[in-house]
Amino acid sequence: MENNIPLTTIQRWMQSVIEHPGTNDEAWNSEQAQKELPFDEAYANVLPSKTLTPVERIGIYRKMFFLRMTESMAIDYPGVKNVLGEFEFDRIVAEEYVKKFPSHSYTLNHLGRYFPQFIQETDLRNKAFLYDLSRLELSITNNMDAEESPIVHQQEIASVQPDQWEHAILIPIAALEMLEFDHNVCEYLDAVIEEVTVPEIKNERTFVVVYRKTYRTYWDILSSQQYFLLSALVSRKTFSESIALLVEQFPDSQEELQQKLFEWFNEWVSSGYFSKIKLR
Amino acid sequence: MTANKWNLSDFGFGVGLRSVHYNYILENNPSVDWFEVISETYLESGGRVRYVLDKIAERYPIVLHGVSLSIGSSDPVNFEYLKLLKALADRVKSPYISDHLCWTGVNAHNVHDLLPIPYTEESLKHIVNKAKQVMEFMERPLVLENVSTYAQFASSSMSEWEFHARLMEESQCGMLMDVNNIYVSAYNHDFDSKEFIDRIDPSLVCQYHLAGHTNKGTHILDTHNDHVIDAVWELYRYAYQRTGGRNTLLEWDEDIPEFDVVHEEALKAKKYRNEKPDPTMMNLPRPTIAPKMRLTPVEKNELVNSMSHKL
Repeated sequence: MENNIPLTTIQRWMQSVIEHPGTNDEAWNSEQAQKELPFDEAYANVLPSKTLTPVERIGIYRKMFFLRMTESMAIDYPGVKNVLGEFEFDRIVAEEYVKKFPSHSYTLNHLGRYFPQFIQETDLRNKAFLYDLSRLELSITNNMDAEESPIVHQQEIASVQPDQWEHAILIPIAALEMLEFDHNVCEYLDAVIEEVTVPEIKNERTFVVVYRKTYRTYWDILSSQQYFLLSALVSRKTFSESIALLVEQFPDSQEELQQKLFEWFNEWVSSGYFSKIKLR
Repeated sequence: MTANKWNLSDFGFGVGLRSVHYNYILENNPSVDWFEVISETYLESGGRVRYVLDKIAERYPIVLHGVSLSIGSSDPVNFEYLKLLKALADRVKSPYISDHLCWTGVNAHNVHDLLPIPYTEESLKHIVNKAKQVMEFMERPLVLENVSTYAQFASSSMSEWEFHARLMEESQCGMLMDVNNIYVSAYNHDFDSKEFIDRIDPSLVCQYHLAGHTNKGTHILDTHNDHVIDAVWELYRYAYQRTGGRNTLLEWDEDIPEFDVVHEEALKAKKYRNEKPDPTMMNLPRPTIAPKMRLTPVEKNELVNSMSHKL
């Protein structure tokens, strides 16, 4: 005999119980769950098995939910997890992050998209470092899924006539992002990944390019001058405009820059930063 | 043997494609009949996973198997998701798409689990309507898998198999019969797994799934972390003899061994296709229910860990 609890009510109730952090009892008695279905009605609607009560049966889904969330976040944010420690990381993800930013995506790969924002809005120890580190880790995760682009080779560079360079625009590959940090995040993350002792957290202006080459993601530290020039190029300024801006920004290093430009440019081309050269 | 209603080809014995095996497959070209891929892994990825998929699709038949269609959710069909899915299905030439008869979230949330639906007239009408929309949009058959469940609703007015049978009849979608899931749910809900199989029109079964599971005593978890147990092979034999040639696939998602081990496990299904019926199978024992027991904290932790394969 069919009772008349609508499908949408059952699902809203069950989801509210699954997503509620804390114990099974707290989840079943939460305000949201009670709003959807009073405890007695919900309890009567979930059949017990020979071995498990209704609360225990729904509890299986609750445990799986929080495990999936914490495991998925740990894959994307190993550095943040290392700073916070496993217990605190899992607690923050399960009790706070997932509640504030539940998954709306078809894939768990998108779950961590708002973690840097969450860290910025949350009271945490080492918050400024965690914010920087989470931005680096998010960039790396996003990079792995970015579209693959063709890359410019040295021969193409060589075929550009000297007078064409002034107005040349270098189009970056899709899987390239420039980031600035106030902490030694690269050094820290490398240590976590390599499973060696992590360095002391310290304030350190750090300029990074995250990019992918032959389907592998890299994150390289750049000097402030390199970062400035590459940022200008990546933002589709012409080659001459970019260099002019660099010289203007670092007037005291003009001679040194002239010597290094060729070397940097060669390195960036061979690292596959650019997908094509647009000539006017 | 009964032909399937859509005349879908029987590719043979396949393996679920998992990233730990990418390099092995690309380097060794193992003689696998076909691969099933988790659609969501490839929908928007332009990185290495997409490259690997394209390479594998050049060499093997591919079928897309999704985990986020959420056909049983009271939310409407997500056409943005379907657009991506259709593009991928076209790209790898998936002859049909499969997903699960379940819901994964409501109010646009996704809890990333295969949640049980109440088997009611209301659910049936809603899912039939959604399945028709999906098939019309996708321009290919939709095949829905029976899931392992850990809870049942008192509000259900029909059995799981009756719900499947009516859904397929009314929507014209097909069934991916996961015999391990039948076994798991039969154990968890104390029903006869053979009766489930008997009540499904063989012509509506398009594919089989096989996998390992974890028996916790009080219940079984569908963990895909081990070899297929004998009782599940017996169920496969029983089901297969009613349907004949259908794609058969082995899933292994946790503690994944070397590719050869997974492939060999899948090929065991051949034995069941070729052997004559075993008369004893007609008296297939029902799973026994262990007495209620309390789990220690360590056991509870272990239980949770065993459920952790990522969708």
